[in-house]
Amino acid sequence: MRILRRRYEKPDVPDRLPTDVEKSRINVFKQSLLGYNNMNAYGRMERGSRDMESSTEKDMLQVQMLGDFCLTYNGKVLSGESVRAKQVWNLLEYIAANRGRENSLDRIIEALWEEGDAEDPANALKNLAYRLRTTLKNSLGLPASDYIVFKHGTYSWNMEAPCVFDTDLFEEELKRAKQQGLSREEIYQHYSRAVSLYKGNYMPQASYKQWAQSQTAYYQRLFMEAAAVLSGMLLEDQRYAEAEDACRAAIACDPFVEVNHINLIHALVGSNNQKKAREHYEFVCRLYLDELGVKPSDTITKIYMDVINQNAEFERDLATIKEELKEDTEVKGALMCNFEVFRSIYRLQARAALRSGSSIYIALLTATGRDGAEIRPEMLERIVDNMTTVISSFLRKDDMVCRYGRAQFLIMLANITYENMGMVLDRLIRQINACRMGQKVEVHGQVRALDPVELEEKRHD
Amino acid sequence: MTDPERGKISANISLFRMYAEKKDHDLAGVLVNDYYGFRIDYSSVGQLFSYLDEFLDYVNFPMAATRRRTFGESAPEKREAMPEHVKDVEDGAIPDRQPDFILHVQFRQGATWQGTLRRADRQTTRRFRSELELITLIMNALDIERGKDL
Repeated sequence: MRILRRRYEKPDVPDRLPTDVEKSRINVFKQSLLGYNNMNAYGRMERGSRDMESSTEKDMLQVQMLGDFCLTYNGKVLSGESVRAKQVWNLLEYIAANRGRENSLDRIIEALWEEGDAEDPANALKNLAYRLRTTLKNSLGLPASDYIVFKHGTYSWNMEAPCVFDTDLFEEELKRAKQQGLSREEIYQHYSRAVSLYKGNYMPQASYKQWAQSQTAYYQRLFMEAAAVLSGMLLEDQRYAEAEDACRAAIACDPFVEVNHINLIHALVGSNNQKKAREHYEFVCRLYLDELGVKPSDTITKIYMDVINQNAEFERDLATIKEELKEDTEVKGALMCNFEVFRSIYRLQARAALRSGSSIYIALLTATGRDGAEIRPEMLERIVDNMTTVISSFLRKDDMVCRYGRAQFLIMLANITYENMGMVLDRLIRQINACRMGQKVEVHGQVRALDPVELEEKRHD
Repeated sequence: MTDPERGKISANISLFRMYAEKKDHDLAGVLVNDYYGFRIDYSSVGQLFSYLDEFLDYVNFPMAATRRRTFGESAPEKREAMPEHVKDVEDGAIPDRQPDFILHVQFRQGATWQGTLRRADRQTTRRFRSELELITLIMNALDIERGKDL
């Protein structure tokens, strides 16, 4: 398994055990969550999420930080959009995110104002804190002074005030899932709830702020690990639809963790959806080529090959299979395929060359910026689309094309001489360069003959 | 002789019984294709290569991977008429003995030939990667045979 993103350790989150008051609050609130069983909906959380809302807990302040930052109290919701004064909201974000920590005045001021932005930041902060308390009181009806306290010469979140944070619940579920002596069902339940609680990245509106970045990475990592464990368990239990949801949620969070793609393909195959599994593999190939310029690992490719080789239904007759084999759209231009298919057909042609007597060439078309410079990422999609259109429409219907690198295409042409291949490539390159992007892009081609198996060195007598 | 219609031929079109003997530092003999019932007589190495290449061009099998270079007008991609040196297998005598070689021209890549040459009597096969290598193998085998006779 390859995890391509950097992993982060928890750096800035308060590293302490919950106090007894907090524990009891969490436990009370967790009781209200026990009835929650909507495990298929790993979508984004709505404001004032029903996950956290309970008729028995309406008088407790609920703070959502995953997927959004908003506060819910007695059915009233306070979100960033409803607070006009952005600095008031920024102060609330900072204090909530850094609850349980000693936040010096300097650190708060540093987080809220660029150097020199405020003439008298200490006074401005005092004013902001007053306005924040007023906002909490007016919008939610909270006894605001209970929540934002001035202690030891600075402002902080009152850890004694009754409230529950979704991040605490999320971490608590994960901690419980890893306890010794739990039954499989209990472990599943904890992971399941944790994944449900993760409605999206940590405080997305503040994600660009330095103080939020490490926490964003921390919660994301926890979620990705939980989703991988959960989807693995669901797959083992053959609960494919739920596994699919868990994988898709994880992929939406970070599309470059392969285990989720692997599990998703397994889930799709398990629910007898081979077509979707193949489509997802194509999606992964394209994503990896576009974003990273690499092909997916052998593991995912092997699973894809297994999908292809798997007989969907034992009782199907040949006529049905033949219908599946046929092209379902009008045949126009070259055959577009992925690298795996291209490789299989190359090998087939290498085996058949003796009997077919054909002269077969492969070519590699590479697009670069002017003078060989790297293509700018924002241009890549347009260039690839344009090359795909030109190549597939220009070549014959029995020619074959696959995308190889980020901006590279492999082409296989049969019954052609080296000289004619050169002419075809020249015309193709002229055609690609003739379009508008030609001002910024150069396309180069290389040609090699296909090696029949009989001519491969290892088979020499 | 079966007229090898293009598109309906198999790899056997370029598989020959080969009779060869050294004559005045050159090579002479006949190529016999039993599957399609034709023969190509040759009296020199030059004839062997040019007659056979013309025939392979006519049947376009194995397809030449490069176009032939010339000093004059560029050579046509396909030969339209059967070369006159290709005759019915019964249009001449065939030595009453085992062939010297079984020649199979399998590919024509890189402006040359690739295939196999089997010494029919010894059942040993060598792969050749060019016409030069082919003629070297033939000459070498014939020299070995002659040395044995002496």
